[in-house]
Amino acid sequence: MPELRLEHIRKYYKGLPAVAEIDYVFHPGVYGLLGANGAGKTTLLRMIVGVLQPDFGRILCNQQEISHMGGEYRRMLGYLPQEFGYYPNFTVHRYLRYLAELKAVPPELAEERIDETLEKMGLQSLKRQRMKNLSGGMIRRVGIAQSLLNDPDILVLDEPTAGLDPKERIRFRNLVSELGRERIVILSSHIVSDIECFADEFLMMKAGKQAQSGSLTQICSHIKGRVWESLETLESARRLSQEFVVSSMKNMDDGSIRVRMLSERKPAKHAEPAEPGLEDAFLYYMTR
Amino acid sequence: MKNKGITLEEIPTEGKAQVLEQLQEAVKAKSIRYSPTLLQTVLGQIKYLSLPALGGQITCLFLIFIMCSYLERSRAQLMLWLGTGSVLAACLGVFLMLELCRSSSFHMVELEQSCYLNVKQLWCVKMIIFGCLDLLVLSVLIAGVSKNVACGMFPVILYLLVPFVISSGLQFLVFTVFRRGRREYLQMCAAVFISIVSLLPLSEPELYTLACLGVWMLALLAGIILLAAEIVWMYRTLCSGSEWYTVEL
Repeated sequence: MPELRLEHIRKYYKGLPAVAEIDYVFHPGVYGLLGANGAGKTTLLRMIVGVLQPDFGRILCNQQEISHMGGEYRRMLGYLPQEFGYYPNFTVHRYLRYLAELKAVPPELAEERIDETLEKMGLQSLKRQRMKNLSGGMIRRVGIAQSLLNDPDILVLDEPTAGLDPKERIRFRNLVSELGRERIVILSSHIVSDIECFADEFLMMKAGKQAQSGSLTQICSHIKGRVWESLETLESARRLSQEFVVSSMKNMDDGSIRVRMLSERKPAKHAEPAEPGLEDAFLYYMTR
Repeated sequence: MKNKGITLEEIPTEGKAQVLEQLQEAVKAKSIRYSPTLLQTVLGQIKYLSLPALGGQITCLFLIFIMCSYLERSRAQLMLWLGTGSVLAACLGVFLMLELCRSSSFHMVELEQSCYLNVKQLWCVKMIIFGCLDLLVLSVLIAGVSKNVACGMFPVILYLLVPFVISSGLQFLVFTVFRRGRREYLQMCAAVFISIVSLLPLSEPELYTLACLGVWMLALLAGIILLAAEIVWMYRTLCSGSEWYTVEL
């Protein structure tokens, strides 16, 4: 069972902190890395997979520093970068075969692994298609398939659901839940609903720092009593949205508007406390 | 004491099958570690080389055969042999660069760098493959030229290695300085420029006399140092990472 430990990780880019002091321990399970664009998620993931070196701190895998493990660490990895590249003239099969060789998948097992991952991602029929002829969603699926080729212990997926249609999202969600049982799966997204339902733990990042972490229940419990809902007129809803952080507004049949907002105190006369969700927590920590 | 012997208990067939099945599952679940040798890696990567790079290199070899037979038939002078040879030698480095450009042109550097055989090793393998092909092409060129000129083989080796080594060093410089986006055309422009520059010594025929061999040796040494420094710099920038990847941090 792998363990991945981040100790005081810092990374500067042109003098500015892209990641500032992250401490975290990953055990087998599915982790959701949440943060707004530019929060440092991609930089952190790049350091975890070893393509970037931290300026300070260290990353340990099973008590060994990953920079000292070299190929043995990379052997344990599956990675889907945010900007997923491919050779346009390669067929899907040739592309996966190429990456299987780079990942040191034994030649006698490579075909079996390719077929298995293609099947998992519903791509069997596209095996002979050239990469340049695939749609954005299909390319993303090939990206997820390649990350599984070497049956990795640590799977790092940067914005994996971008471009996937609802059916593929469900397939992906089920696949990740299954994979997370015996390995570390780290997913990043700036869309909360994409990972809310299947991640076991969440790590929220803001301006390179760890804003909050924990399970859904733990994170939500921190903001209990700060989420409110009330039925308002259009005018008062507008006023509330200027005064408070509003997480949603919904038009009701009777013409009123149900406003869901974050506030330390009761924001309106008719406001009632509501059960917090991950989206509320995300908004709370990002706007604090 | 009476030796009773050891009697083995009969294993029930059902239990035996179950144990075997469990063993099979355990074996299947155990990950097989495969570490390819350098030769296996080189042979494995040849089939993924890009057609323009590999085809260009092979075309260069044919061009040298054609050039040698043409110059031999037309009884060309020393300067014409050396001029043509220098241009071809200076062009040779571009094919490796076209191959190395591919990873970053198609945004593959980040993904390849996270694999067991990472970009550093992958580029090393490609340099070995193209280095061997360059040596083959240069050997044919040197043999063809030295057979037809009177100055001997050692000076010819120097005269042709200097443009090759310096041009390769400058190609690496262009490659490392302009890291992002598609830059194959830039590499090709650099090759053309360096080929033209390699013709400059021909305007001073005295440079191709035995008296100037020391100058050529110094130029070769400088070229080797430049090439080595460029390769080291390329690998250092690759270790620091971010500049090779297209997404801003």
